[in-house]
Amino acid sequence: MVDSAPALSLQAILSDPTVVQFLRQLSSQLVMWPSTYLAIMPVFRAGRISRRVYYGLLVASVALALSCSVVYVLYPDVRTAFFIGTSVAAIIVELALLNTKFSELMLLFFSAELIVYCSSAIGAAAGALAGETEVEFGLVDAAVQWVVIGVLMHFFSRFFGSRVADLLRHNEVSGVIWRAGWAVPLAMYVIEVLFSGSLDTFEGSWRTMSTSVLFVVMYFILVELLCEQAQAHLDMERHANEQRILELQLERAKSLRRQIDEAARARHDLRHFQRAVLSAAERGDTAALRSFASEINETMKDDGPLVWSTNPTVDALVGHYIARARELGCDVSADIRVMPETGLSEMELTALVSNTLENAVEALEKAAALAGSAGERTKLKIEMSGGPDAPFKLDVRNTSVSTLAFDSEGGVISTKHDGAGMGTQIISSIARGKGGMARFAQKDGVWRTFVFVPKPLTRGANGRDAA
Amino acid sequence: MHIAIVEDTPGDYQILRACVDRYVRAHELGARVDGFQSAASFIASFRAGRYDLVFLDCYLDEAGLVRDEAAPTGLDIARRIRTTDESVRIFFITSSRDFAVESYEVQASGYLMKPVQYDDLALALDRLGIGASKERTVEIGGESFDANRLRWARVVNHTVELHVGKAEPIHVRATLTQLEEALADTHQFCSPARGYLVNLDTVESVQDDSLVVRDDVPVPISRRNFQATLEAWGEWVSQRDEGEAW
Repeated sequence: MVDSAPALSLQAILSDPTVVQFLRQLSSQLVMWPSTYLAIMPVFRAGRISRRVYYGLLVASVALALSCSVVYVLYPDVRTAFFIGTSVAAIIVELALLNTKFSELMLLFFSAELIVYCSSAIGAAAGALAGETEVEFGLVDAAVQWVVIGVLMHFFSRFFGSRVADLLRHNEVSGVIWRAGWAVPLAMYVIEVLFSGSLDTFEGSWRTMSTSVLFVVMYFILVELLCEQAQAHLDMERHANEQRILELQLERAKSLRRQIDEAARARHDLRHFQRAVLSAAERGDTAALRSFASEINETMKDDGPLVWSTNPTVDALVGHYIARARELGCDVSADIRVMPETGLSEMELTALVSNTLENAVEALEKAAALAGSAGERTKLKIEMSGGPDAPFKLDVRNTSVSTLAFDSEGGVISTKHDGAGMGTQIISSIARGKGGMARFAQKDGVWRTFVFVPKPLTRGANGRDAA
Repeated sequence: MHIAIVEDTPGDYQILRACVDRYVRAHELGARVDGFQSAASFIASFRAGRYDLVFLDCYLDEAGLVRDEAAPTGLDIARRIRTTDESVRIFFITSSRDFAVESYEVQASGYLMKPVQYDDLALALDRLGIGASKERTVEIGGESFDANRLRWARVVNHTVELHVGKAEPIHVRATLTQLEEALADTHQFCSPARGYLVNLDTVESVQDDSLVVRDDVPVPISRRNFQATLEAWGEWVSQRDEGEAW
């Protein structure tokens, strides 16, 4: 009879220093998962990545943590090189998949690291306080660390998922935050890692924990303030835009009122006309008939359609700019087929149309003087179409005498400013943000702005434009 | 094909434009349609050979209720067109059948009653053979087809499945690369996903992860190519609509 091998007990396993080291490393490295979660969750909520990419990266972070744990235990000599290599690879992969800029990624990453490191510090402090043996230290450290991570993730996931995601969605407003803001959590993180102390001793852990908690609270307050500021800026822009639209609609309403009054006067004049025509006809006075006809024509000049579009925003904007163009003596041609619902918000529609037509009218003002002296007329042609199930298209051509330059990225350098033309930048930014494109071209004295938004809908959580 | 619509009443213009757009799509003409809301703007833009087909509102004038003799009517515009261009087809849009007599003076191809009905327009244009667009024959894998009518294609079991117009798909023994080379046009056609090719001129909308071509057929777009595909569509529309400046 052969004796069976003795069963492995938990105590025996935990007594093995290699196992203990591996488990401590695993606990330490698995913080990659909450760090990745906090960093990429706002990107997912902002609709920049699909659900598949989101969950794929979370799984990849766990796999990376496992492999790091194994490598650090079995091959401690290559730890530093492996750490640097995997970090660089992770950054490259995330930049490729997350549809974010490097500065945005750095802010997200170090913000997440700040919070996770705080958890690690609290866990280490608790372990140093309660653990008498290395195993006890490791167990208490891991337990407390993960409880704190759970609490902080629950609290901060709402913050990251709403506030930070909002900043990502409106990054044209919060640009300063993204360009320079990442330096704040990075500085905090570096101070913690380099200067706070070792997590292997109670004093070091306590100092690190205190610094971490302080930094996290400061950082949270700072970001809340920045979000409030960005939101206030957005609200101000929205309010200014609504004011502008109301002014334009009031202008259109007054114009319509004038035309209604003219029609009422014409109807009144028609009764006199009818009596005068009958009288002249009875006398056989054809000269008088022609005279009456000419007088009536003068009271009924037609300057164009009463309504340019059933979309009130487009109607107000087009009516305003066409009136300005005609005041300059410009020949205007307009083909407007825009439905009340286009999928673009009122702000976006206003920004695209008003910036394009403002540029056109400004160019016409410059061209008007030259054209007039040459006995020619300037021209403006507007084509616009859009609806809930059709792409939004804006094609504007106008006479232009300015010589415009293009920067290395294809943007227009304004003749008024040394930097890129702000109007064209805004047009391009909004079009690109909605998955579309904008093109600007100048040829033979004609400036063309072409804007195309294939599916002007809000991006859904799956990263795609969704209804 | 280049079409002009000259109609000063917005409601009538919308109706006619919708009918023309529907006809162009149905016959896959790849036509460009220019709209003019005044005689003056059309006259300023017109030159001989520019348009293949012109729709003119016969009572087009700019003086409201009473005709201003100084303002050109549709017939006046047609006469002016004929002084330099004998080949452009002219259709009058009229509220009165009495106008039909005058239309013969300028060799008008016909007239349509307001509000224009699609069936009437289609019948009139079909009689003139407008719906039969110029073919661009491409030969590949022993088959030939009209490239202008190719809507999309995909690789299926080592063959390329061509969807040409509303006909049944054609399977040819070729690769997608060979098809792209045969089409010799890198702007009108693009590959939205691996193994797929789409004619951007037949794309009507984007739904979720797909381009929707005529008759509501979805063609998938890969995530990697999503933005580039939408940009290619925009570039094609920009290029197709560029035409003359005015």
